[in-house]
Amino acid sequence: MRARLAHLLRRLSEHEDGASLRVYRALFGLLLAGALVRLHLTGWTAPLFFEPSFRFEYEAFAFIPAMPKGLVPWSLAVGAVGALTLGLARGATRRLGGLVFLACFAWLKLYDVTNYLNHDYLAFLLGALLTILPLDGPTVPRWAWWLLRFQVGVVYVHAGLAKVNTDWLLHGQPLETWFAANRGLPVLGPLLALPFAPLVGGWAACLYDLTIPLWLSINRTRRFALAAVLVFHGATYALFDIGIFPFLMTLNASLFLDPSWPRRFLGKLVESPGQQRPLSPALAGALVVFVAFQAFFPLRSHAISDDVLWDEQGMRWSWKVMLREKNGAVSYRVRVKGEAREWQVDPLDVLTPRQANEMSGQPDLIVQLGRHLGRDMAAKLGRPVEVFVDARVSLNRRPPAPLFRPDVDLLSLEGSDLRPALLPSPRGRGPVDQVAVR
Amino acid sequence: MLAACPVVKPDPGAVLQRNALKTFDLEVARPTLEQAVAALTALREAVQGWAATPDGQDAAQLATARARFEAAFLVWQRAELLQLGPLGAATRVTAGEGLRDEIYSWPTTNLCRVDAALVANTAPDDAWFETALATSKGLVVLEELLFNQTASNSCPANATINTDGSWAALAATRALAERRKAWALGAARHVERTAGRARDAWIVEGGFGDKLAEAGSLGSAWRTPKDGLDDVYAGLFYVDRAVKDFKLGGPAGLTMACLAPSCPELAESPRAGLSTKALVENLVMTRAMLTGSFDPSSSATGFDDLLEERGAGALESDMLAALDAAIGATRAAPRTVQDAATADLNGLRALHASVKAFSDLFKSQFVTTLSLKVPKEGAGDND
Repeated sequence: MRARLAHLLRRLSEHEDGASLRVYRALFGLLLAGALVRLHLTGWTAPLFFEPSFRFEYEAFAFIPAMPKGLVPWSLAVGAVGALTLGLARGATRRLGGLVFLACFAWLKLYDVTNYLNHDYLAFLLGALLTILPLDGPTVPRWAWWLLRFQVGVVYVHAGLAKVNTDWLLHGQPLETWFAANRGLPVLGPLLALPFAPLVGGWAACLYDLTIPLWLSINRTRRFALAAVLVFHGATYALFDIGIFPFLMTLNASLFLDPSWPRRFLGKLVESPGQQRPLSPALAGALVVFVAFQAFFPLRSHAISDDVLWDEQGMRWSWKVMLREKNGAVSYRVRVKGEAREWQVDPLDVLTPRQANEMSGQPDLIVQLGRHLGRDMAAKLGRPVEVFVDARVSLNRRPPAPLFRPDVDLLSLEGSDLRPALLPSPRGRGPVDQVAVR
Repeated sequence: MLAACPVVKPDPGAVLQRNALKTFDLEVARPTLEQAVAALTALREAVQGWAATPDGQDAAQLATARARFEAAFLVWQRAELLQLGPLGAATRVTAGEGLRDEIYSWPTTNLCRVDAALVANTAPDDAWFETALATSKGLVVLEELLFNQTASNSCPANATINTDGSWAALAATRALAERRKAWALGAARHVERTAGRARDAWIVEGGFGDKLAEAGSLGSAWRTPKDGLDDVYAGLFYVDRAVKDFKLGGPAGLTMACLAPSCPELAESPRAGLSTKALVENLVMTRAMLTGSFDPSSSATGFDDLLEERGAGALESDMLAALDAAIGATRAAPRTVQDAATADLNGLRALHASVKAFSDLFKSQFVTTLSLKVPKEGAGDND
């Protein structure tokens, strides 16, 4: 056992050509710099940062102060320069650029939970790995290669596992809804309208996610896998507003290619390989912790959620990508304790329409706003209040169902487990095709 | 050889989406804008007649102007839901020009601003109205000037015009009436002009209406016909926010805007008493935008057909039943919203509940089934 472990560590310490990673790093830097510049050019900084008067905090990161609004344009610019530096520089400059990019990117992206995107989380993780890993020499230790491939594989596999649910595989939801909305697209539209398209698309996407890292890793299947990557992410780009995600994932596929593939264009490896230092136990331990966290943390919903699509417990940081079409009508009832007088508060009184829409299906955000309203109203009235919420939510075309128990005072909830306040998922009450896809 | 080639037939759902946009444009939006401009022109003519008649001899002209105001105001209540294209906010919808607020800024009002300007004898011309704040003009101001013939003003007692005696001095002369008439005429001319601009921008060949009806075609501002429907959906949102929350919820003491048991002062149309009639027009327009026609028996293509085609006939029935119930309850309401807030609070809250029953479906399953989103409010990416 010990001998096998030693052999494995030795194998992981060996070096491979770093040419492909150099190209990957450069394109990653350009892509992320472009993403930050795009955020400015599209004018999205206004609805995402300037217009909201209330922001949803990440509980785990509540200690980080919100970025002052005046710093947003600067952070976009400095973050873009950091990303370019990470992509193009070497040594300490690369690492400094990476740190600058990560700091700006994270601070921007943690501004409001309603801005959460899975691909931002992935970009952060990959950026962190590209900052930390020893990538400067002409060759790169094999463990660094595999760590990057593992990170990409984790995203695919967990995204695939998340699709293993009845809505996705048996009822073709929410793809059926999204395909129907896009039936007017030229070329693709008529294909999306075919009756079996959602199920075929759903199964294909699930199988693709679950297996593509494997096909990309095998020499004989890599060519076909690359074609599948282009088709799959090309289709998601055409159909959905998912920003840089298709580009990032297509770029990530290059991590599975022969590490020397750019040599065809750049010439043969003439530089001497860097010193092949053995993998230290401390580093190996850190890698094991990171790998275990990435492998298991996304699965936590199985322990803390009754139905993650409904209660959203464990939804974020778990690669549950594009899984549901969910919209709700949310209205708070604020009552002075011990009195009958009650006010209804529409989230739009406090939130931007974008925030309200994002919040309407996410129980933790509904509670967070409820607590804010409670504090605000108690201060205004000078008396303690109770806050209840009527949230009627439609999940994957089902008729709207109440999400919260109507008699639970949101101010009385403690901790992050909201299940006692939530009503059961309507997904257990019969197949979606009886209520929607008739 | 050619016969062997498969012919890709247009998807019936996509055809329905396009037809729904065309029907909305031709059967609902254009007639409404034409009626609004005609009514606002008639209003301007009546205000002109009133302004030209000496104070004290103008009772008949004032009555005509008030009647024309009522007609124009109620037609405009339908156009209120057309907050897309020229009437929509530039930050919110495709090709938005923000003209709606120029015509009717409610619930944003500041009548004291007008009173202060009357004292200052601003004597505004058409150019002044073009650049003035929306609260200085529009139907809100016209209602006040036509229906308040007393010497009172809308400013608080501690406002300068009340503390320095300048208002009292003006009110003691015939100049107040003359200045009010001049202001009303300027405001009437401005709303007529602005509504005309909105109508022209919509109906001119190749204008907004044509573009919307062709959403999803090559070079269109909308990627797909569904994206065009998103703009119509943005207009429909009026029923949830303006009708349910502002027009009913506030006066009924249901929202945080009202800390007292009820707040009749928050109701719309405080002088002309058109608050309940306005609600009826809002809801009738909502129905027309959903079904593609003002005629309930029409078979025009609308959102209802899209729901049916998507297999959501039950939702379609539920939504129309809830909307018809709200329209029926509003039509049957015997009082203005102001009066109901004082004399029949339970009735007013029941009205609110009937609109909420519709808007709950509208904001949840309706959106989910058709995958709608308010354009530009979907800023940012998904996943």
